Amino acid sequence: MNQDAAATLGFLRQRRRAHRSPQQRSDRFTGLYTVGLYTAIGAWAGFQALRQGPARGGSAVWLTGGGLARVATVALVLGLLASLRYATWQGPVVFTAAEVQFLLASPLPRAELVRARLGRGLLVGAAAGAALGLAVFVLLEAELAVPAWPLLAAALAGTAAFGVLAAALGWLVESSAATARGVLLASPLVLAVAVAAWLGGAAAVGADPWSGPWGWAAGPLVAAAGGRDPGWPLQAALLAAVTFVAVVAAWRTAGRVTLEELERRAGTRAGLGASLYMADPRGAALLRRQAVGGLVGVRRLALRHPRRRWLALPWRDGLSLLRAPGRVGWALVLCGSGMLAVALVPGRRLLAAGAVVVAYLGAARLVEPLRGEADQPDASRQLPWRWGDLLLLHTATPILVLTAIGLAATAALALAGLVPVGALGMAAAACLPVAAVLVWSAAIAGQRGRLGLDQFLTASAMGELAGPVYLLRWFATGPLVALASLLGPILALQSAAGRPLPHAQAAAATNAAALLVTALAVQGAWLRSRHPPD
Amino acid sequence: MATQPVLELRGVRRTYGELVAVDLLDLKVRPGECVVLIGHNGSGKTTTLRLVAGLLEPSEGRVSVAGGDMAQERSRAALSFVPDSPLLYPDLTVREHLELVGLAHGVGDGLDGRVAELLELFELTSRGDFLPGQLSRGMRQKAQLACALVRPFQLLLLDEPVVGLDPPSQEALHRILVAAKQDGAAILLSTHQLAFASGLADRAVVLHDGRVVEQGPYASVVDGPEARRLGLR
Repeated sequence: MNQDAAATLGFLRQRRRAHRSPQQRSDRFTGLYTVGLYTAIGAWAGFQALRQGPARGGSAVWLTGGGLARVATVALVLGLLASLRYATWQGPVVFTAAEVQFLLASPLPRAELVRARLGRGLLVGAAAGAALGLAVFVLLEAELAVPAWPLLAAALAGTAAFGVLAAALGWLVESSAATARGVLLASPLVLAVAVAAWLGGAAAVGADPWSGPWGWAAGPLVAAAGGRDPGWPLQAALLAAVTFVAVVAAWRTAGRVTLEELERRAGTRAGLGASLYMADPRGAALLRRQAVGGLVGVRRLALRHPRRRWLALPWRDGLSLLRAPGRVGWALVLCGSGMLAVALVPGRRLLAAGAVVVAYLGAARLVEPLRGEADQPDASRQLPWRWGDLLLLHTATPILVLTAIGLAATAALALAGLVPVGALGMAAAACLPVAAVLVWSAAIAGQRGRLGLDQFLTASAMGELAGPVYLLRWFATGPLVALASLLGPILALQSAAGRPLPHAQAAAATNAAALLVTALAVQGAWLRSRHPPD
Repeated sequence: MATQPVLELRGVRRTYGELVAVDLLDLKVRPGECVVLIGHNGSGKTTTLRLVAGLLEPSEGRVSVAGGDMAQERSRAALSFVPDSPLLYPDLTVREHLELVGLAHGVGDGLDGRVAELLELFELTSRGDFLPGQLSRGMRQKAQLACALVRPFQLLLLDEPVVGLDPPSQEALHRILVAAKQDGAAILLSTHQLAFASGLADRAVVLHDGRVVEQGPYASVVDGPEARRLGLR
């Protein structure tokens, strides 16, 4: 390291240490000690509990017969994607605003200053990977009872190396706007790779170049767990080689990043810290959106305004969706998954409840303009409608889009033979009211605006147990409303599924329709009575 | 018989805990009249405007716009408000903001022409297809003003409208407001820039610690003892 840079960093370290009180040092040690202790106890207790549980031979066969390869490769692909997407707005090297102003703006070699932080980022990547590997080891060892040391070595080494690789690639993304833009645009492609890995099963793990680092990282683990993978030494070598190359490339390009980029990320980090401290995930999401907005640019799509007054808000919401088609894509994936799960395994109440929650999350992606309205309710003063009417008008476009998604998914399921022809009409007819229930549930949660200082202080004052429950209730309101509104109709229909008599099925359909209409009436009246958040 | 006031405040009081932001305010603004609120920071100007706009509820008293309260659509349609900092939707362009507001207020066939005219007036034509995040603060303020003017109104509320505006845009806004007044619109504005208010305001109200300390014809109030004592002149 350059002598000036080393001396400056050493001076900063020394001054920071001098300003740290013994109490702060003690608190830091206590925190680390507590995390370490609880991790060790949790891992040991989990291991013992799994070991002493009933033997699950079916799981072992599934795991070693390709299941582990599937899960591991998909998890690693998705983990890498998450890491790279994180690097488009934060990444392994983030300075504070003060460091950008005083340290990076000084005439010291920037590459040296960045490398000091990059080294820490690579270590964090290795530690995160190793922690994941440890958890995987505990689960697999308890389930499979294979020789422990080879499995531990494979789990730790593979995931730790993969973590380092993810951090190094993260830096390459962070230091180049073009690469960051590419990551954002190529994300759907990576998701397709994950789907291919899942469908490929055991074949996803191999020593071929097209297996990718995820396949190479999973290979030794599969072999140590008793699966068939004779090529694992080559895979381990390939993973080590690609990780080494990535680290060298990252190290060499340490000076490439601009001060402007680091300053932008420092500002975002400060806001992100405040949002997370205040348990405000929406604030964090808005910061992320703002940070990556400049990378992908604005989609210059225009939609001619309508002539009728009542179409003003549906038109405005349509424009918003046109500019962010990813929201429709997410709604399609989430709602389609929920419908697929219910169609594949009918009659399972817990699964149906999970499917409703997943579909709710899809609907929530579509009500972003309404949430934006609640974020700055004063802006709605430009429009002539009462708050309640404004909310209802804002749900028109999301309901139509979600209905179209529901109809498309119903058609796909029918083509796959998962929806009986006799039930097709009823399923199609249910799309509109179910979409309305889901969107209005999302609107009921979204119209409250962001979790504010008042709510946070209330939760803080409620104590260690009641406070988190209060916050949890805040976040769970939307899914709970959706569940309360839809589980009744779903259960009514499921109860009739086993009865061949047409009149029993007709009665069940009538009951389900009545429950749906009641839920819609209650939700609509409640939304209409709302006032803007303070 | 005098024309009915478009805006009437009777004994309006607004408190935040123990802090009294506006205390027993009585005010009437008639069609074709412009009233300017002046006072130091924290004197209650913005709170008064937000109370009139229906963004705050009075702790006591009554606010009436076009003969009704702000819960009524008729009153909401009568009032156009420009807040002190621009509040724009991040996913709509400047042109789309104007189209949305005009459409929502029933501006029919002439909407496109009206939008083009306002963009031209505020020198925003070349930025019409920009999102708010791509504009400077002054440009966003112009867009906010254009949104307030694209629709018909009986009462226009402006909170520090010239902050961040360049001199040509200040002049353009002044001309528009004088024309709106001549067309019968009532205007209530708060500003620290008395040069902007002169030639526009008919009456002035001096606020201090939430109370009206002087009100009357504009020229006599701004040259009056309270304005001098508070250093507002």
